[in-house]
Amino acid sequence: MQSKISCFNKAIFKKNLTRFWPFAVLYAVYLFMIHPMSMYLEFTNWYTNPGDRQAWELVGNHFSNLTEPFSVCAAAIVIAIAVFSYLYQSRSANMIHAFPVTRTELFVTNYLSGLVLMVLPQLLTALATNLVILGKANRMIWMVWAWFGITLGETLFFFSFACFIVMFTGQILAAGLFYVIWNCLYGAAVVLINVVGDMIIYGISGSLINNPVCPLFPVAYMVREIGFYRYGELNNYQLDGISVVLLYAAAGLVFAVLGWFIYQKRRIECAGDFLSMKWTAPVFRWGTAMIVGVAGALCWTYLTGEYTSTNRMVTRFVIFLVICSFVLFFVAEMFVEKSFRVLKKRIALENICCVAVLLAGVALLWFDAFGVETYVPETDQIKVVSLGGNGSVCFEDTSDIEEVRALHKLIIGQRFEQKAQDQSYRMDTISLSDVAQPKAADGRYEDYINITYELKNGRMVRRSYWIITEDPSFRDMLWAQSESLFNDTEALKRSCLGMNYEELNWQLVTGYVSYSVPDDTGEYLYNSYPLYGSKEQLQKIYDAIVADFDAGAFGQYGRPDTGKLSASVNLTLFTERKGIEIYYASDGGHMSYFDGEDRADGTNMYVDLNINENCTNLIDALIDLGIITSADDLCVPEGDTGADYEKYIQ
Amino acid sequence: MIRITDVVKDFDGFRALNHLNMHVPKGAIYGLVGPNGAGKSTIIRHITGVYRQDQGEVQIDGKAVYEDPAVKAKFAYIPDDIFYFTQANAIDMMKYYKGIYPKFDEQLFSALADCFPAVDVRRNIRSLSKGMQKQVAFWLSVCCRPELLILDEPVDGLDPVMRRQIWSIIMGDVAEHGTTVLVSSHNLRELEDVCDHVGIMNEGKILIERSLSDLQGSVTKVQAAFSGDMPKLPEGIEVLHKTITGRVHTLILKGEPNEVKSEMEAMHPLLLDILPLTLEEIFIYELGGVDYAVKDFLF
Repeated sequence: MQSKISCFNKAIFKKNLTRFWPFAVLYAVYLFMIHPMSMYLEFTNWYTNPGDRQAWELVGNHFSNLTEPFSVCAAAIVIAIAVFSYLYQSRSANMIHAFPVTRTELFVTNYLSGLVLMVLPQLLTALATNLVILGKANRMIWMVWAWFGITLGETLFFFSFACFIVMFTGQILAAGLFYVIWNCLYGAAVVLINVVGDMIIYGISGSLINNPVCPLFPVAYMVREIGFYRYGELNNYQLDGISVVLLYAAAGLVFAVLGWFIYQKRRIECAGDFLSMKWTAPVFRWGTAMIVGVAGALCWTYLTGEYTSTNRMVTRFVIFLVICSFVLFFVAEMFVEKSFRVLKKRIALENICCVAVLLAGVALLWFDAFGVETYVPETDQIKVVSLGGNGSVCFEDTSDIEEVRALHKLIIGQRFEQKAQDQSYRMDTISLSDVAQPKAADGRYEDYINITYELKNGRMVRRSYWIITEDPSFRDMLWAQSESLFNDTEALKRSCLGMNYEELNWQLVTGYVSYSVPDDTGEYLYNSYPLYGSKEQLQKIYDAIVADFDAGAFGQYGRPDTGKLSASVNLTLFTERKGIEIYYASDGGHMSYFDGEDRADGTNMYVDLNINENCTNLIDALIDLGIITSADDLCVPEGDTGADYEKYIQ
Repeated sequence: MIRITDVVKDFDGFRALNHLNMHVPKGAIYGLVGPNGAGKSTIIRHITGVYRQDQGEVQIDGKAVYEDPAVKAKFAYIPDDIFYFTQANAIDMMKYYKGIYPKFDEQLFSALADCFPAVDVRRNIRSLSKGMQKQVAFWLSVCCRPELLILDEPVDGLDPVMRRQIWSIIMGDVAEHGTTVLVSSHNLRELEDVCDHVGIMNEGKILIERSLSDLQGSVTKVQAAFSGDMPKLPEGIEVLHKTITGRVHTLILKGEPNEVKSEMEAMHPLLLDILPLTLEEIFIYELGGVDYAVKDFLF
């Protein structure tokens, strides 16, 4: 008999469970392998009789390295396709819909049975894991059930989303394909836009859009945002991302309702078709032509020819883009129509429009319609700017920022010339930063400069320029401005020692001097002299470094690398150093201050410097301390350096 | 029992049902006849609530079928290509039907086991022959205690023995419970034996729909031989089809057989035979004459 609840049918529910239990079993086996079984083996193999702390560590480590969203995501589509598989064959679709059940009843019953098929293995896994750690790490049992909770939330989202996708499609292949596409669409689109931007827009180095991982890329976002993190003690774990789980679970419910709604509108006669809703066909055609077309054209462009000039690359890309998108548009239509006969006037016109839109997009990027290429932030918008490529210096004073902006504008002014430049490797190319002063009138020079602005509104603007020039006037201006900025003594010192180095009340903890020396066979061995000496000795080294900074010894721009010295000095400071750090994170990164107060908890800061021939103060200090006898020791040392080391550490 | 009013259904620009009207009286055995692509299966899928019409109404017992489980519970549907769950046997399917159909009679299922001795209820239905699968479908459908049985090509592809057996099940159910039957088939001879109403379908429309006796009474087949040329037929007798073999004229004439006979006798033929017109012949003449507007004089 029918259930009293009009939207649920017990017979269908039972039938689903008895038909599709192997999927649940497979999923359960997988979960058992990676959770209770894995943990049991770790307990038995690694610790014959683990103490509390070892057990905590083991359980904590296990749950903090989870990538559950991947398996939930995969299981969801398999089970969703299974419980709604009758929709994909006209034989089964006609039969099932002729039964005295409503579509609501079918949807709700199938949806719930699918959820049970997913959740049951998870529940059993949690119970088994609980049993494994019971008596060994009771304090960590909460993690098992927290894992179950977050997995439940993820399941709700992915399974509902999978059902939603299944409702849109008329065959298994399409369901799987669309599920993968929609799950990764945002990430893939961002990557493609960045690669295209990187190719077309001068100065954009894969950072046109900074954030491929966002809520629209659920698997990656969940992996990043949801998890257990340890704070201090071994058993002090916290679950982060509960709100993310709840939001995704809520989104899952929305998708479930949408799936139900689409099922009401679904044409049963579409069984076997690629798409169940005809109005989605243009979206599919255009999406395929645009996304896959761009991806195909990029692959074709990069795989079939050397990178020469931007102009040539873009020309090649445009040709391949037209071919790929045009062909793929028809291919998509073939899938929709299940026929090769798709050369219809309407489709051809639509295809031409699609290709035209893509070309317009390329043209907009090429002619910098969005002002990305020529964008230089205003001085009053900039909080701090970092210059890299030939060392690293940071500026926050207005006059310095103006100088950087002037350099930036100088480079941008050459963008069309740069796009036309042949960028393939040539032996006669000289690195501009390696010459003391460019003199040759007809030489070919190259330089690489990164400019990173952090704006006062928190936004970060990054540009990377590879500059190749044979134009003497541009070259000289570029060299002069770069030299002035990269060798700015104060900027170098502040970047290395801290923005507030003059106010620091630091404490030198430790340090070492290292260099490579050849052994008898000519193989270079790495040597390191720990600086365990008195505070006075270490202070002497620090003072020598500061003196060398003041003397301009550490500026690298326009200083040819003689390669004579291969030594570095590293100091570990326990300090309230104020500095600037640039984070290139998946959320776009940021350049941030860390100030003394933040670091007053005892975080060590490191000063790493390569010693060069101009570091006379530092070399003298090392000689005075007996670490080396002369500057030559840092280059090609003679004698038994091992003995020197033994002597020193005694 | 079934009333279909002005139903239109388009598939990607192709009009499968074109303002179709149809009426199946309660207790009738209604044969739906038509060539391939006429729209028989399409209209059956509308009647069973699988497809939603673009226009018009599909009603069973005065109620719209689509998404109404109470209405759908009144009929059992046996499609040409029957679906069974993978690895399900007859018992599994019986349990499933029992959970789906409110009036499913499990005792009847057991009682009817003797009628289907060849069916192994423990064996996967999909591994059974097509005939066996059809038998299981009929077995299950009868146990649903339907008021209406909808059969799409029920005996297609079956051997004669199996056909007879299937029809015997259907007729038994009709005799016992007065079930209304809607059956589509290409096999006109078989329909002629069992149907009391016929609907002839072509290009998404019902061309003719009436009781078999009315249909057969409206057209008469005559064989006549005359001493010389055949005299001119009297006014009011229209010829649908005419062939001459020697002196023997075979005529398909519009009109009731007795009326035609008396009119023909007045022409003093050497030989006059009024022959029964098979449903197949009516079907062929009707559809063959569509282009010549033959249907007009059949009404």
